Amino acid sequence: MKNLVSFIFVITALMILTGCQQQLSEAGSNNKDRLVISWPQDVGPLDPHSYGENQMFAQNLVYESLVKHDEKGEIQPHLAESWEISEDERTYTFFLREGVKFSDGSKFNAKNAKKNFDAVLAAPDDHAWLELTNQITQTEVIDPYTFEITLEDTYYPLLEELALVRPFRFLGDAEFSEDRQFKDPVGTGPWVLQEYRKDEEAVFHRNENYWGEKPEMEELVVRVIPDGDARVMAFENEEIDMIYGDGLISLDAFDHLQSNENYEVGTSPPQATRALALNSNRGATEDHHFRQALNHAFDAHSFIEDMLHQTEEHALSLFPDDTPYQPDDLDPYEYDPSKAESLLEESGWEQVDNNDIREKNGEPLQLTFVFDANDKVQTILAEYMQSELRALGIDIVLSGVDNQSFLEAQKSGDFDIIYNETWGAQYDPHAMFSSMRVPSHADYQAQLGLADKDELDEKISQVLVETDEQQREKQYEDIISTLHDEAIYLPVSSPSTIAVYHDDIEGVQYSPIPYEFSLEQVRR
Amino acid sequence: MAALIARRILMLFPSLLFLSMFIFLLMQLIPGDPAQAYLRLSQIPPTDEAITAVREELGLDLPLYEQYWNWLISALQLDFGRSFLTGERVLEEVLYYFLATLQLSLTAFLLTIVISVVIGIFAARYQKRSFDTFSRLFSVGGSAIPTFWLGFLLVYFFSYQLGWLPSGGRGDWSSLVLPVLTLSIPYIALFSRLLRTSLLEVSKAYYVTYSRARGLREPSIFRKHILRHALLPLLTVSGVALGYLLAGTVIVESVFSWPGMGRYMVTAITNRDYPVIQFYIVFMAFIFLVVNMMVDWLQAWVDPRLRRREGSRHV
Repeated sequence: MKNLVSFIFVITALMILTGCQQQLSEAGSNNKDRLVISWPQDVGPLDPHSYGENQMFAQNLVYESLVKHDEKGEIQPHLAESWEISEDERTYTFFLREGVKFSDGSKFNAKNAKKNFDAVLAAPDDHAWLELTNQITQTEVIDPYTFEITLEDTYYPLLEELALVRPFRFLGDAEFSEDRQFKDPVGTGPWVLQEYRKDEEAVFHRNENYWGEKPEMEELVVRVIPDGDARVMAFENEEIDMIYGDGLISLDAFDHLQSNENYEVGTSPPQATRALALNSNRGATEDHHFRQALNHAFDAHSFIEDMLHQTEEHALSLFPDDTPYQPDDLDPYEYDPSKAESLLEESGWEQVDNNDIREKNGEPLQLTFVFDANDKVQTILAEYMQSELRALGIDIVLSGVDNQSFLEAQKSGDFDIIYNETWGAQYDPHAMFSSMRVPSHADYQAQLGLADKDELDEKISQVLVETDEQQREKQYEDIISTLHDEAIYLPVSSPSTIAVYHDDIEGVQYSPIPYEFSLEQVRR
Repeated sequence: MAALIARRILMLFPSLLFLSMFIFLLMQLIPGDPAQAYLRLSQIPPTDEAITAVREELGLDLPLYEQYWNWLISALQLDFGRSFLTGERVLEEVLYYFLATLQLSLTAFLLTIVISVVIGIFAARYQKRSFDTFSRLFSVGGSAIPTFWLGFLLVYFFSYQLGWLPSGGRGDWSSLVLPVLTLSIPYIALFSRLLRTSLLEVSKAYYVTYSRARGLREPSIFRKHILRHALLPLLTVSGVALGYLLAGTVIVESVFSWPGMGRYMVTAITNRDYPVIQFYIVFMAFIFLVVNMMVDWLQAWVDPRLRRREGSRHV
């Protein structure tokens, strides 16, 4: 028995030692051609047509789309050099770029494009959320570099949806197996997956066959670091070169890094809007003037400065300025407490007998603010707003709930104020508007009290199928202005991608689309 | 003895069956929908249609008893289903993470035992001298300090200030040092104190006095009569500690970016990945029961009285 115990001891020790592996890739100036970043999760298997654990930013490194958003958010040719739209706007003919090769050396052509499209369309359940997959009736190879898509109806956001990171991107021919299961990640993109250790790190190499501008760095390492503080520690310890992404570190940590002169920081253009939805169907917020008063009463600028350490831009309307169809003549609701006060008086809320809280017909002015308590920014926003509006005699009741109850409140409309966000640059405005017609969304519930809600929904349905560009622009302007004038939303700030990097790094760029990281120009 | 072991192993199955049923019901009681979690993770807008489609795909639209029955039948064939999130076989995934955890927790466990025994013996032998005082301070500090803070302190000194060791990740042996220390220190603090107390208590026993009277030599008294007895309480707690260590240590795994069971489990819980949660709990229960069984046998080996009570001559 004694021997057995020492035997077990020795075996365990051996197991532990042999369990050790080679060293992880290191950052720092001794590896001039290697860029090390980190991500909280594993990059996933990198199937271009799949979701879940596949991380979008990593899929975007390896795979490419027919068209792409540029820095201004406008659609530009990418794997397709140009396209033609038929008279009835139901057939799109794409002329593909010649000479594009996959990282395994095989050619990208119309046959491959069809194969990828058909693979996506063969799994309609997976992709039904994307209207385009429901609209495509036919895909066709016209000649080796001409590819045609036929739609059931006209659908103007087609190009926008083709630009998305998934599912319409292209996998090499050899990687499809018979049951349409994917084998290995082979794409046409600037990076190629070279080494992969699940939940530890993924190493990408520059794609030497890349048709466009090749990445400056030879190697891109993505290390999995789940904890924000551990990430900051690894960064300061020069184990990673750069922190790049949204919400990867706490705001305090960002502030701490920002103040160090050896580090550079930067942010992308705004990618969405944090906009509170005010319920026009309930209580005090039913009143149009009252909603406008709230818009004038909240000092979003100070909030961003004090609480967000200026990591986000101040949002003046529901969508950022460079969103397609955003009218440029909207009159923003400036922070103006005296105007807010007069609007409050106008709608009958008055300060009685030196009470802190305003009253109307004996009812105190109380608003319920529903937010997801697990989200840090939502929580500090709600608390900040509570203390700020108290000075104007408005009592905000915080209702910080778990994620499920938050979704429940969106559906039921059981809120005066609810935290809300737009869908992000690639979906705004069309997908966001589309969802405003669906009763399970907070937007629908908040707008329900508008006198012309039915008319508004009708307008949205029209604009999504409108084929005339000028008409469409006019209709969008009409809808956006209506929502703005009605003050249904209280825009606060625009989240964006944040970068913190050591000062020997150059060429850090940003895309307006979340998860499309532009790391190709980064050099030391 | 073989019959005894067989009986105890057979006894595992009803416990595991009951547990799996219990967990299955419990998971349904936690608010949260795996379909919604999946969509959120996939960055797909969670419309009602999308949720229904995912629920159907994951088999969540079936009645509860049918879901459990399906799970049970395949589990009996060692097929524990696929993760909702990754679509991979749960068994394979868990084994992958379990190896990483095993490496970390066994090292920490061995280190804990070796160091605790050494400190415990010295503290008892030089009772109330400076080493004892030092060990007392260490044990108060070591058991009071929160793990994540200890982890960050170690990282701060050994990797940031001194640059000796990596701050995280699972690389060569050097990456093992800090997480192992973080895991071991609280246990060493506890175990060394436990052993010291128990050593002091045992050395006051009559049989120790008698063995001195019989003229036995001091080292042999210590080894055969004191240490052996004093180890018994340590064995019991170390069994429990090993169980906890093997179940994965979320905090240490997050601080040191170690791809282990704890983190895997927490991700599964936040995403309501039912097959993973279900299997993890049943698997951990199995590990706990097996570790307990081993502790019982070890105790019987150390303490012959227990052997006799069990009614067998040899272990």
